[in-house]
Amino acid sequence: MSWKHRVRHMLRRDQADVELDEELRFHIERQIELNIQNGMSPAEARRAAMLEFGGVEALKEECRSNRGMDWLDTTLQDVRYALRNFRRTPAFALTVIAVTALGIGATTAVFSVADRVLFRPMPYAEPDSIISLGIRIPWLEYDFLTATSYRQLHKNLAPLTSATSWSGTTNCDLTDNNPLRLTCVRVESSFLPFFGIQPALGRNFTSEEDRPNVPRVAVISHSFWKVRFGAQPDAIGRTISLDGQPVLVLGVLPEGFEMPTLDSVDLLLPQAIPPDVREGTRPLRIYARLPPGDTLPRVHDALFARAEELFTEIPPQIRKQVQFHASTLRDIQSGDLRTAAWTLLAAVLSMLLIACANAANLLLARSIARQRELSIRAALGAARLRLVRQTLTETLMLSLTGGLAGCLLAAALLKLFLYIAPTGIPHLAFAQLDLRVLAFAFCASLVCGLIFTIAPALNSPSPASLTGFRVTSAGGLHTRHLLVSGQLAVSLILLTSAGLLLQSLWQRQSVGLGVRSDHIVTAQVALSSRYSQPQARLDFFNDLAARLKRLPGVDSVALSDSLPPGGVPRSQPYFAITAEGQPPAPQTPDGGIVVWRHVSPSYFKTFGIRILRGRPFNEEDRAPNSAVVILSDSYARKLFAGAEPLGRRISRYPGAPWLTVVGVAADVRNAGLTDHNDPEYYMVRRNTADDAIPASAVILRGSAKPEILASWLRAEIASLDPVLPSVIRTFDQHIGELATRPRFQAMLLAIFAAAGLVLAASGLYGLITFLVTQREREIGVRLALGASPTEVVRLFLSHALRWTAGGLAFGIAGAFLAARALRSLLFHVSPADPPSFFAAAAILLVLALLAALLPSRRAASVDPMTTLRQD
Amino acid sequence: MSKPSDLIQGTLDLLILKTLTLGPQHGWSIAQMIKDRSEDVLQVQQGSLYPALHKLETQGFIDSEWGDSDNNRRAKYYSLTKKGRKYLAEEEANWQRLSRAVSLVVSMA
Repeated sequence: MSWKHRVRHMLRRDQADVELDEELRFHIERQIELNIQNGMSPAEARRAAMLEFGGVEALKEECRSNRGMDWLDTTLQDVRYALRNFRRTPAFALTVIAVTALGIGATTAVFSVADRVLFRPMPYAEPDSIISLGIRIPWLEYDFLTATSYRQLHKNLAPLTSATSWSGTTNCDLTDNNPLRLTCVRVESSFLPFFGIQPALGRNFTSEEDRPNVPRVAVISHSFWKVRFGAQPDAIGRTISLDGQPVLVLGVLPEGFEMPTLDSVDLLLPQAIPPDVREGTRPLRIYARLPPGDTLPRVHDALFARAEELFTEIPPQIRKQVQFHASTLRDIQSGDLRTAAWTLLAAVLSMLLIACANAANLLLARSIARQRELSIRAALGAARLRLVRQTLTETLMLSLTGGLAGCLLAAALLKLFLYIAPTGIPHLAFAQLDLRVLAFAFCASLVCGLIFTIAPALNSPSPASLTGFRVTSAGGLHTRHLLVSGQLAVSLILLTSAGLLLQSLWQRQSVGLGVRSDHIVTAQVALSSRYSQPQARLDFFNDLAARLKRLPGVDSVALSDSLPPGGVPRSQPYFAITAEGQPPAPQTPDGGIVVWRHVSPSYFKTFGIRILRGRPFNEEDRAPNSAVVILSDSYARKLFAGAEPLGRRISRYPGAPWLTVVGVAADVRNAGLTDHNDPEYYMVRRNTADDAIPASAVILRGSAKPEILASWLRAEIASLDPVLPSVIRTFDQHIGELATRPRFQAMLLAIFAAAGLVLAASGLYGLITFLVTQREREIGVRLALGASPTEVVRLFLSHALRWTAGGLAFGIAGAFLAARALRSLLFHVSPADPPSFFAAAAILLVLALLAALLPSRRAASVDPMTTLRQD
Repeated sequence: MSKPSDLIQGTLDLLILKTLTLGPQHGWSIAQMIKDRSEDVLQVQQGSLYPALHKLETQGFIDSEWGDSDNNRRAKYYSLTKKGRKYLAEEEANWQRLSRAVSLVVSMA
């Protein structure tokens, strides 16, 4: 059956019908003639011919269907019929479409974000064979090898097939006429080929260029290329000034490039490992490839057997602390981010479920209302299959239209996500509605459509409905109860999860920092290599502090190498520090770390950190030969086991000069916004070359408005060095940024919980309304027989309460499971936190009763005279 | 008497195509011819004939054309196409094989 044939027939369908009529008429007339010839009377001949011919309409139908255009025709007819139905009840169709669109829109938008994190393959060649390996030291969060060990490894790679190295991200400054703080990464020339990445433009650096003391070169990121060079191809071969040194741009990375650690990066610089390894002690982070098809557990033994030779450079005294460690790239990349992505995806899928249940409920209500119509059509000879098909066409039209509207909504939601999302969430910027995501939306709509169809089908029309008797279909109601209870249960799960996350967020932000965060503005400055002389660095910061102190409204100015509660505090293993007269700490890998900061004397005053014993640093302490230290309270207790710390001495590492403890400061949170807190000590920034730290934070406390303080700070820095980049923020902003990701997660979940709640409540409202309409006559009879309106309200409320109770029971059980899955995202909140559960259940209960009360009150106001006269 | 529904599936197509080898015919004459040739054994019902004709036409085995009948009325004449002839040859061969096989079994001693 050719398409041409079909189309011709479709276009000339009316003509074909006329021709068929004529053809059949001709046949009958010939038969009549024959019958007359055989001696029948004309009337008899006609009757006989017609009898012999049989049902003309059925024959025509069969001819039409044999013309091979049956399904197309039927579908068009179904669509026309459905459109007519929608026009008759536009409010119904629009509601179903809106509910579906909401569900599919939100789900699609979140899927497009989660897709990047959860399901896309990593953008590297054969990502599953990549592992990271090296020595793990408790106080470093990454594994590394020394240059010597790395050379050793390269001499004989077995059981690995290839390896490359990089050195983590560092800050670097673009010191052209438009200064910019950038993130640089040092990588080996084999780094990009190892990951199977080709520069989008230009070329990667060669191994000849990846050596010390050769002209400096760089491969720049796609976004840096766009920002700095306006995406012009002539950027290749240009020279930029990086930390005061010329660097030649060789190539541009592809747009989707990401570091294996998901760090953002602006420039790749050559690793330049010196040939004489004794100079190169920088820790190298190693990626290696397993042989194709092999897994880490299988090569584990062979790999770890080689660990011993890689340890040769580690001093024997800390040899016990280090372990050889290897992990797959996939394991490194997963973690909280994946939990968060799964949480969001589960949340929106729940919402989609609620939305589908809601739409299904609406359709079910309508199918009950249309039972009589369907029964009549069945009685008139419509095949059952045909009726089901018609319903399916109708619901699929609704769900696909909803899906289409949902895609538009998703595009808008995605824009909103990108707008409110913190920059730290990897992949989010690349989230978009591509074919995969649209396919997902399409499948979601289809599934919704099927749910829509199956729900009413569970409740098929019975012949009894033909009698014209108003039947309250009990079967349909059962399905609907289940749907409403299910909706309530799912929205309770969402609500509880959102509550837990919001509470965690609140806990996180109100966690005691140990510092006064108000009226503080900070500037993080990193002096470029133009300040290669230590004196120049000391002068810069001393000048800046002196200038700032003179300003009106500035109370105090302090300098530090890092900012609490996170920053990049410097740390060292706990056991490395010796306290005078105390036994050395046991050298165990989990002995913990100690954090230290280099601060100016006014640091404690500026941050409002109390000095519990002794004194803060003073100006005399800044003398080059001073040797003083201040301990945090918890560290002092731990180190001296409760004995008086003042006047005692500590040594920071074996052979280091002794420092005298002059004070004990209150604990300050120093491991980010987490529960964990490490012991800490403070060193004073002395006026010596050793303490001329190029990267420092300037901390300003003043009674003036923070915005004004910030503008002064910016102006003073610019007047000292107009090309120096700096990050200026209020301290509250600094804290806020540490909580952006939890805030984003909690907010999204709260949005979904609210939407789900509204949908579930409207579902309950719809059900009770429907019930009231159906039982209007019964209510009329009850009222006429003397029932009070209150009793009628109570009747419907008791229904609502029963379904809500069912929903609550399942919801609480589900929420309990969901909360356990969320555990890693929670902070200071137990997964079984009773207030969160109670609050969520209470909110749901109140809303459900409210949703039920409105239509129930309508039931009470039914006028018995009107309803009883209706039929 | 055989009703068309008792005909082996596809046999009606074979009968129609074979009848059309004598030249273009309209539906009524096809039915008559099958009836006459089969000595009144095969009576093709209109309810089967016309759907079959329309199907064969859609499949491209026969073609149709409006023409004047013997008593000057418009009638739809069906004629074999080239594709139809080929199909007929195949079907005839099949039929011969089948009927031989059936008669072998039926005439078994």
